[in-house]
Amino acid sequence: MNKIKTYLNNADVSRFRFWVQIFTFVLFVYGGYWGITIAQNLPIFACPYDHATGGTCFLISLQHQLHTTWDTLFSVRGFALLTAFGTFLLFFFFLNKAWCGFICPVGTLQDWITKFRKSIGVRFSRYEETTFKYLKVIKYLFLIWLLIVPLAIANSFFGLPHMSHDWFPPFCTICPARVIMPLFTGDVSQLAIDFSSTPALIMTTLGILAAALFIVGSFVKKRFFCLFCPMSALQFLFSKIAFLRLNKYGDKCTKCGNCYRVCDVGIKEIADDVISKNIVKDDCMMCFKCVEACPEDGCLEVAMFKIPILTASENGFFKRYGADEQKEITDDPK
Amino acid sequence: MKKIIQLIAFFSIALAISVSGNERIWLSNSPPSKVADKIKKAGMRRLPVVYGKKRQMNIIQWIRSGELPQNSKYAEPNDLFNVQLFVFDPDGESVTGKIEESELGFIVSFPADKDGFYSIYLVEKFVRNDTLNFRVAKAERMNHSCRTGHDKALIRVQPKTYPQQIPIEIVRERFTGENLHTVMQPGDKVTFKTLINGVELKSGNIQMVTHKGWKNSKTTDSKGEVSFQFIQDDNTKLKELRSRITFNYLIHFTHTVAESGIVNDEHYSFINYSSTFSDTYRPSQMLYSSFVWALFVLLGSVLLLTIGIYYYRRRRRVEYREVA
Repeated sequence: MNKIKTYLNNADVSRFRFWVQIFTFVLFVYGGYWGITIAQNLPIFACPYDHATGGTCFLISLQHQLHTTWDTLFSVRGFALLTAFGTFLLFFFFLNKAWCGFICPVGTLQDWITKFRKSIGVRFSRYEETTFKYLKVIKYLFLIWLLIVPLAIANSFFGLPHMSHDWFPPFCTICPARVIMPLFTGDVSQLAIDFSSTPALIMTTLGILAAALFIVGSFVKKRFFCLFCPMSALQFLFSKIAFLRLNKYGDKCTKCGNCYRVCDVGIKEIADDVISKNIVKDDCMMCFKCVEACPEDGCLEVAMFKIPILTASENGFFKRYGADEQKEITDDPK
Repeated sequence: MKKIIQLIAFFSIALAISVSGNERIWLSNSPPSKVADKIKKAGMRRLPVVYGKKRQMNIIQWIRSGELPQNSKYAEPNDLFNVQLFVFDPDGESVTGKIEESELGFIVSFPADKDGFYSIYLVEKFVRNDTLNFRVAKAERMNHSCRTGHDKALIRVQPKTYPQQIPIEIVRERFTGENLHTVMQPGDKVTFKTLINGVELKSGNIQMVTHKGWKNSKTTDSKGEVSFQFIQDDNTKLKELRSRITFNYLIHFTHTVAESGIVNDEHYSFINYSSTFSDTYRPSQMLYSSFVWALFVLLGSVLLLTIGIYYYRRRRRVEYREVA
């Protein structure tokens, strides 16, 4: 048992993650070509605008289920929303936010763009702490937007007229994944601006701008889009009760800051917070780079059903980082 | 007691709707794939035709059933009950058409030698489950070839109704300046009028479905009118633009009233009116510019952002200065 434990603690999780990401990217972008459909309501950006996708993002189901009148929503048909939500939770509870770190194809794409940047020697950017604090609110605004607009299309709020149907689906039309993911199957149909009505024109133009921002942003900032992802916001609401946990034992932390330096999103609390045991923050994608980079025995721990499956250890740290003396902990090429 | 009667009436109407109005019959320009190669097309609208004796041109239409134009099945004779065909030429005169099962499928055909809109109606009238059902499938097909000229074009495109023969009508109101060449496309706002026995249907629920499944439902106003604005279909391929392809869209409404009577010795307590109207549209001709604009916006934004980030980083670079 101890051998297995030591093997896991010394394992190169990033390499494992790299291969999992390749596999899941192929599955969720090209799976349809082999007739594979994993499920609907997945907690990842498996984009249904890609006709060959092997699964479907929960956000599109959520928007469709909310695009209904109050009467319908609170009738038997409202169960459809609950079923979709239940499916989403069922998937989410097992892997928590590791869906983002290991499986989300849009996250994988950002990691590949980062690898490309590193390979050509361009340095990366980090947000200043105040900027980070303000930017992280955007994902909650997106979440509210995608919850409210479908309801406002189907219902009247405060006696106001219904919103035009052309705003629908309010998030997907401005989501960069809608434009970018179909391109991987050679489908350029989403790379278009819809002139058929003013809302369609506004939304599709915003979608194209978001795609441009995604490409450039991901190039200079690791996991650029994850900071604005409403799926991440929705996941965080249930993250505390998921089965997969990232725990921190503050009494073992020396505040060396390694965990913060390797964090792709740039979560400072991972280093600063020595009080909380559950250290999964709203922007965390559970890539476990922090656990890999932590040299303190048992300080950070990944646990499933309260059983530790990966624990930070000095041995593991030196095994991963010590072999290559030139490899810097910052993960920065220069 | 009154409440119980209301409740029974409600469930009876619901039952009447559920058993009678489900199957939507409509008329389509598109042949089944197995006979597609055999079909000749004529005129500016590329209508499917067969030629009779003395090169008499007959327009043909396929009878289909289903909710979505893209997935509707090709109907069979058993799908229709007590059906009558009415065809009217652009001058409003009756034309003799026929419903037949041929090697091309289950079709409607009629001779066409005038320029303008031909109105085709399949009318079914039958009693089932204490309900008198009127099911009407209407299509308007523009027969035009520029070789025959464009005289009185504005008059020839005007809609006509035939309340004596057709109990339910869905009328597409014409655009300002509509002519023989006008084809609907995404972005257009189209108004429809619904009439039952020549009287406008107020507060009727009308549904529109495009070929690729975009749906919208609206309620008619006091004039019996309702307007829809077409939205660009997802996944429109460039080849669909290049081949002058047109798609069908469907308008559907159903309306039930509590009215009793006897038809062919069969008693009924309700009348269910159900009608479809099929017409054609083509992918937006602005689609090319949609792609070009999107590419321009994408590449322009990427370039601007890159230049912005480059100068931002350069401005923040602190040059080494030797301390004195």
